[in-house]
Amino acid sequence: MFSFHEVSKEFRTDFWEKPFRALDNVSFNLRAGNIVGFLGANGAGKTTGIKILLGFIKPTSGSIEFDSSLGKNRSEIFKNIGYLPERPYFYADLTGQEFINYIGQLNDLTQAEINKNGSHWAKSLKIDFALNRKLRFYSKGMLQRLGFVAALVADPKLLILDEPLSGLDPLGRKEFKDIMNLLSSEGKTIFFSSHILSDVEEVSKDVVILESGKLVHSGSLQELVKGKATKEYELVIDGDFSENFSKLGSTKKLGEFSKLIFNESEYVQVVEEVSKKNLNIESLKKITPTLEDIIYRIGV
Amino acid sequence: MNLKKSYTISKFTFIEIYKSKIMINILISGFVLALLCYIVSEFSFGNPSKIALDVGLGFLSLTTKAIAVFFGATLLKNELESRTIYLILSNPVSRIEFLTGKVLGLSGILLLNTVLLSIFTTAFYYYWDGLWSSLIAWSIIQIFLESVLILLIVIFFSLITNVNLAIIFSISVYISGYAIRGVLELYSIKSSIFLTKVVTYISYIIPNFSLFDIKNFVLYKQELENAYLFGTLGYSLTFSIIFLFASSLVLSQKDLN
Repeated sequence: MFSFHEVSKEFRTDFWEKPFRALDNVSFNLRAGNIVGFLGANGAGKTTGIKILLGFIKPTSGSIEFDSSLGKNRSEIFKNIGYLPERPYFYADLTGQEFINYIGQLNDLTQAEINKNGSHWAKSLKIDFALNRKLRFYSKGMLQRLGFVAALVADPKLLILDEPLSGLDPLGRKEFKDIMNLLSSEGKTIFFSSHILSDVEEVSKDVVILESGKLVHSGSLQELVKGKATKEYELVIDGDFSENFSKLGSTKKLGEFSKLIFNESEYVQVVEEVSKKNLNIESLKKITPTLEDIIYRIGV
Repeated sequence: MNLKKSYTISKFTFIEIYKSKIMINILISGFVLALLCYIVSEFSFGNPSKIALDVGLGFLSLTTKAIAVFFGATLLKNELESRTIYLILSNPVSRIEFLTGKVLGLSGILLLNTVLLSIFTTAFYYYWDGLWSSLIAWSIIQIFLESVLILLIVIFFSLITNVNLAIIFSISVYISGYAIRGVLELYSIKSSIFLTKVVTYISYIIPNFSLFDIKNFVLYKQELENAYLFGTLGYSLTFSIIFLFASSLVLSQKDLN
């Protein structure tokens, strides 16, 4: 859908000071039809990357290339892009419907198309009841929903969402994720930034991870998790038997249960020991790290 | 450049400003103007219609300029600070289309203010048996064009500096532009070839706002050559295009952080 080619961005905070590098030689390619999570801690460079992608700021070096399926020139390309900014602000004195009309008309939609698409997505995102209200009377979550409707009204092929789930209650987050999955099943590409890793893990197939402005991973989430998988197992036994396995791995008492973490090479020995002593197994599983484990504990 | 996009932006800019408190302000201004015209006319001896027209045109000129300066200074700044500009520029809209649309939208408000206050002014003028002259219409047009030019100057400064400085610079340009022809007539300037050249060059860069002030012709002489009127029209349009172009250039290069 688009590619970053060695994109760097420096900001000069003070004339005398060394420029601050927000993005450092970032290159990646976004595959079409996927939900791609754009990850990184606060200040990692996600929003800067999105601003460069949308042409709000110019890169210090490097370039961005859009796929020809999006269009040949800026106007055609941007007709196929829907964007929801982080903490969206709107024109306070316009109504929700007026704002949707505004965005629809900028995308050359007819009033009939705006009404059809607008009301469909407004209903799906449960904001249809407030479309005649001025935006100054919308709550943060309502603005987020309206922003999503506006991003979808022109039926774009690529959706760029900057922290779309922030400011939403748990139900709202689920609704947004369901719609993202639905859009993906319809063949749309979604590129969304977030620092809430469980959300990304839930909906994304691919991830792009930034750390201090540098790209640390770009590609399949499954492969990333697989690559970081340890060869360890976790066994939970009913009762306190930590002493029985003290030589095989690390043990821990969990109330009435005992937990044993052991290596793959010790698997046969552990199973034999369990069967010999006729112990009650509560659970036995291979340890698979979550995205949170990888990013915050193990490291990419 | 797609003018349809600029038209859409101007339409919603107009609606947004119209729905804010500005309409109330314009109507209050209208009533203040009506009251002012009435009081001044009542206390004047001889020619109340001229007094009403004088006060009315002066008040109209002041309010359109005030709207141009104070709304113009924040027109793009608010878009940048509240990041609403992102929502518009992420659509198939170029920065020049956006800027043109915003300028046209606020110009629509200036036009609305001009039309409403002109109705109040001319109503009082005719109430006191004033006679129709095409120069009255020309004077109103000049006031509107002058305010659009001021709006473009404020927008230009708002793109390169902060709101307060943009207002100060714009007012300075207006005062300098208004006075510069008069400065050229000063003996101390006339007596120096160097100073005459410097002031003359400056007068080419800064718009001569005194050209737009034809109130005295409306009130006393009641005639003005068409060449002057159309020349001023062309002059204001030329300077407006120059400032729009300069602002577009700045905006197109600006990082929208």
